[in-house]
Amino acid sequence: AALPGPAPADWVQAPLDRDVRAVLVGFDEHFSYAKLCQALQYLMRGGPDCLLVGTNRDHRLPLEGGAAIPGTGCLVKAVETAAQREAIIVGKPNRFMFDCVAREFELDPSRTIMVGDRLDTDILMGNNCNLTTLLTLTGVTTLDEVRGHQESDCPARNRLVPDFYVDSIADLLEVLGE
Amino acid sequence: GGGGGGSMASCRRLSGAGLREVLGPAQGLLFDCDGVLWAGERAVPGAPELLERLRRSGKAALFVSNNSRRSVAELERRFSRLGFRGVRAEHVFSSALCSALFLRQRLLGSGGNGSGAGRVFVLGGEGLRGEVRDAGLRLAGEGEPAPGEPVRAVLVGYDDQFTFAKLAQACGYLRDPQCLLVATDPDPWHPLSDGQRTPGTGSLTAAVETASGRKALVVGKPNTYMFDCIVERFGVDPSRTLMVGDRLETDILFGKNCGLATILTLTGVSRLEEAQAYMASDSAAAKDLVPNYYVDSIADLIPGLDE
Repeated sequence: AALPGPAPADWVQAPLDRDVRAVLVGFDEHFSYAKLCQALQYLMRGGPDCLLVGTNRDHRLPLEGGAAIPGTGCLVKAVETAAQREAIIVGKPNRFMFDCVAREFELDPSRTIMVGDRLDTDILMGNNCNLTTLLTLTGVTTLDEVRGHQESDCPARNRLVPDFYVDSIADLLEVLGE
Repeated sequence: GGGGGGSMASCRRLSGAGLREVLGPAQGLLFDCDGVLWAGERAVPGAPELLERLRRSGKAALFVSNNSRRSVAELERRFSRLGFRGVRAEHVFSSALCSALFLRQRLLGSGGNGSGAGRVFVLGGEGLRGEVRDAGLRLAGEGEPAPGEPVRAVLVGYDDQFTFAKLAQACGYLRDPQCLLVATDPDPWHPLSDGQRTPGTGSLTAAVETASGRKALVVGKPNTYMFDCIVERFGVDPSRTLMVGDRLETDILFGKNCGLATILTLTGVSRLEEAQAYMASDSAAAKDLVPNYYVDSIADLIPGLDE
């Protein structure tokens, strides 16, 4: 619904939809203060009865040439800060998505490999779900980063280490059939 | 004070003889504005009279506000409109003004003439932008293509026109590690008169920090830079100055950080129960949020002043 006027004093007067029970924050290139304001109104009205959910926490979406655009994580953080509460995050490394896939396709974790390029999302989820984890080096992660986590005393960092790595997923062709 | 770092604050109600003992020796009071002097468009009853009585007692009244929406010139007019007499712009230290002073110091330095200082990308309204310009700095425009004179600072303030596009533009400038990231204040939300809340600078700063991987330098309370500005202009003695505010996490902690005795007034954001909970907490950080004293409203300070 359109906002009734140009300023926050107007926006907080906008009637709220009675049936809203959750605020869901995803990637939104049209994110604005007005939307943030409305999200806050719903969360305040509903208290713990209104869920705050974020799709993922990625900080940045990389573009070519080293540039990046802000990720969903920034928008989630803005809402969390205004509302002074923590969002439930659905995306990796949370295991929710794996549980959906495993149920639908009756996967056996001990016979499933998770392939990804990001340690704190892909590999961490795989390790948390007791999958075999395979890092590919065609994305954001370097081997040096992995070694750093491997050598660390911190158990949380150790959980970011994959079981295996390949330079590219094309390397898997070697071992797959004729 | 007690041994070590001074005695722990004990959140005592200020009244009667205690009130005169505390106010008597004070040379001046620093006041937060929203929730202390006024709520929305209404002055707190008795607040204008308190300021008048302070003046007659020869005590200084200065104002320190995290609100980065208005220029100090607008704030001077606001004081007058709400019935407060004799408050001039030079008495008012807003986070907008102090952020501009901070950026002037960092980008122009002492004796700098502005050339090569670079521009500032401001996420905020006209009040904030005006203070930055008045400090002798140039602003980067929205949607301007690079290159041009380099942007040497991104300033995040209260911006009710904040958009994803501006967030992306800010991050572009922050790829340069020489570009400063500064925030006017940390406030996550602000109260409106009907009990609703509106998102504060803190929520926008969180978005910029997350996207850029940088931590912002925060000018406003509870950090002490605004007190440095006050001392530079008026030479205040912290041991003879009281801080009066309504928000434990900003005003009271600011007072503690600057070595000021603190008075919590209950006409604003924080409730007495919250102060008492901090006092009962085991955490050392929580103790710093406990005010020395509290009053229901600053009008309660009037009996502590000479007739």
